[in-house]
Amino acid sequence: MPKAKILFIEDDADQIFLYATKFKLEGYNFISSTDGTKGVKMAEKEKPDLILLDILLADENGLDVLKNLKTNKKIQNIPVIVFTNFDKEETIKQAIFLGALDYIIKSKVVPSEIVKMVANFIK
Amino acid sequence: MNAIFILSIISILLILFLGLVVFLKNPKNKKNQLLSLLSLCIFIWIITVMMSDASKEYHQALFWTKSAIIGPALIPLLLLWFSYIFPIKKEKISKLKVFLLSLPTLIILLLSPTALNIKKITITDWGTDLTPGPLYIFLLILLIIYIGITLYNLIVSYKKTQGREKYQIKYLFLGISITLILGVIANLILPLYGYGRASSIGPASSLFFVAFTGYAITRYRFMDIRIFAGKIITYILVASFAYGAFYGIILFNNSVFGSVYAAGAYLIGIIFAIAFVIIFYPLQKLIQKITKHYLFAEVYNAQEVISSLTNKLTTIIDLKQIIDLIVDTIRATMNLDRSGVLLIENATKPIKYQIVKVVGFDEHNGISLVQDSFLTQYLAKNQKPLVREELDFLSEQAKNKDEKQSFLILKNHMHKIEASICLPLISQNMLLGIIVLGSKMSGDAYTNEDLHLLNSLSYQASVAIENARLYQQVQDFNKTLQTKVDEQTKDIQNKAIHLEKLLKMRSEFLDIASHQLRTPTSVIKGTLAMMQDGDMDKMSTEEKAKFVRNMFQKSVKLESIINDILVASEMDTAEFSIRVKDTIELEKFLEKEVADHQFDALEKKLALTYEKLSDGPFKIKGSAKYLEQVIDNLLSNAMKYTPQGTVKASIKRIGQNVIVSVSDTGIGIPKEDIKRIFNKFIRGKNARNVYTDGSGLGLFIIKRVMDKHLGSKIWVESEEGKGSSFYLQFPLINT
Repeated sequence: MPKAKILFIEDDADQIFLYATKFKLEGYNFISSTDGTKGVKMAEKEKPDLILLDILLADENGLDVLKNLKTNKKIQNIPVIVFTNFDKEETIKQAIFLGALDYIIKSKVVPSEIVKMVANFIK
Repeated sequence: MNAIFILSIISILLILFLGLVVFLKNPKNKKNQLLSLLSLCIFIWIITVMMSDASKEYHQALFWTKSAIIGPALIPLLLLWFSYIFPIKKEKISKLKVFLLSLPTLIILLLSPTALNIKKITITDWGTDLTPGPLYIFLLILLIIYIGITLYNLIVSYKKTQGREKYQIKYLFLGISITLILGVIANLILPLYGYGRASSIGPASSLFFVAFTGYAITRYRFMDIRIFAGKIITYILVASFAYGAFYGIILFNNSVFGSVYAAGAYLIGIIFAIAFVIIFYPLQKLIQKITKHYLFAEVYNAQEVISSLTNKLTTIIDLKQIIDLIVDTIRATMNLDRSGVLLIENATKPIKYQIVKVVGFDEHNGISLVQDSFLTQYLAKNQKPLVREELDFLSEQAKNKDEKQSFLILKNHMHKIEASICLPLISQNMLLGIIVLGSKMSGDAYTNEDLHLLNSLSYQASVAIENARLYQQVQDFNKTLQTKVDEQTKDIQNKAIHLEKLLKMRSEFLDIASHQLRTPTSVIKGTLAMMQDGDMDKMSTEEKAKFVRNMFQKSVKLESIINDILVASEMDTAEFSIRVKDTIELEKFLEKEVADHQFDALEKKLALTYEKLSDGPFKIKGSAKYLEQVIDNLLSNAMKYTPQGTVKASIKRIGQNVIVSVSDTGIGIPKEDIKRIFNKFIRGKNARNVYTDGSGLGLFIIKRVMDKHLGSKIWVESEEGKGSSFYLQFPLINT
């Protein structure tokens, strides 16, 4: 069975390295982008099965990127999970409102847990 | 009954009336006495002439004809005397002078029974023809001289007086002159030439005197008997009615019933009596009203106006309106040249007045008047109008010298500013202010009625003003209250906004701080978790190394972030203080720091240099611990944000200061961020691209440390894309 493709939009390279290693070890196809706009284009092109999205990006707000992902006819149906360390109630509410499936705080989960969550969502 | 007879009767009545009224008005006043005596003499003159013409018996006729000289003998003397005291006493006439002046008159009187008076008489059908003797010539001369002096005195007075007195004199003059001329011609000159008949008409000429005097009385209030005369006239008219009614009833009874004592007459009498009583009172009122209307038109109007003013005053609350009303109405109604109102400013010592409104007065003068505290005290004590003309009298009446003096000073004061009356405004036994009035434009004095009216007006005005003041106070109080409430509300609002801002800042701080702490934590945790999962075994050696290094770096980062946050929190408080007691040799300091960072520079492939731009020494006072952090931060920042190129550190001495600078060829700071760059959590917009984990606290901490070093400065010059230069300036200490 071809393994699912995960897109991680995150600006910290070290973070990407960590999760990329884990997901690849689990056999996933893992692509990433440090830039929100580029990430959206990547999503259009690669059509991943799930997108992990950070909130604090270099030049943009993750919520805006989320909005773009969800209003883009080509990729609105791709499930998006917000995966960040930014823990603010208002932001969480907004993200869910904009269409994110879930809002997960990185430091609260270990890499194996996130892999399991992603697997569940893809099924 | 011929025309002369009727004329004479009318003359008698009028002259008697004049004399009576004048005398009764003020029996003690010399003027009144003289004038009534004068009237009496004219009366005697008319009577004697009438009687002489009426007498058909010789001795009777002779007696009366001789008596006819009595009146004319006295008249010039009286007139002369009168002219010496009207309108004001001109000079004191000594008793000797009085005697001498009276002498000619006495002589004539004594010689009147003799043939020197009348040579002979002839009784005719029209009256008594007479042939006068030499006494008539003597009388003529006397008349001319005395009346000449009288008229001269009158002219002098005329020139000196103003206003209505001028008119009085004028008409008196005319009256006397015309009467005199006609009288002299008719009763002296013509008889001397043989036309004795003319003497019958002579007395009628006194009508001129009466007419002119009467005019002076009604129009110009001569002798001030107008009102009194008016009363008398009213009584006479009413009495005439009663007289007429009485005789009318008798006539009626006589013609209808034949006699007043008939039975029918008694019965009708009852009806008449009732009718009389019913008519009498309203009729009296009507007559009074008509008399008043014709004699005192302007007074009547003034009364009405001031009455209605009083009514209006009670309905107005606005102080300004009240004052306007008072000042304008009084001035217009009484035809004054000036009027004004001054009010006492509440409870100041010394008492200060505020000119609320003045028309015609010089404001400066108005104030100077009321600085006269004597006036204030006097008005406050006596609570009635003060008339300038009375001040002399009051001064004379004064008990002690000071008072006397004060009255005179006040009089001068009032005269200077041309004020005639000061009316006190009293409320609750305290003086509120003063209404100051000038003179009437007609020149007339204020009558008692005027004063009475003004008094009641000022009373009402006081009440109205007091009310308006109280109302104003309430208004002001409300305003003050409202202002205070607004202020407090604003204050509270501001505090609330400030509090909100603080809370927001705090929550922002927490948001960011928590994120900054979580980021390295999640990596460390994640890496360790993967190790536990056994994923390390699945990695290559290279990958393993990279993995572990990643985690190590993050743990270092974590420590530094924790440190930053703690330091920043500490520095944020007002109590933050550092000990700046160390003596630091900056050159050595800087060299060491640069050396420490060379390793990192090498790793990042950057050139890190140190340059000494001038001679030392560079000794400063500061905190070694914190300054170490500062320089460390600057160098780290420079290297962090310079992807490639150089970082230069330098030290230079300028005057009494030393300047340390750290320059790089890095990404620079966008112009809009430069002024905020030293604030908490602020990073340049372009910083994230190069270094994602910046806390935004580094420069904030540096700035706070520099603030604690007295006399020191920190600033930055930067251009986006080209690089930044940070400068630290310290004052040198003398070794």
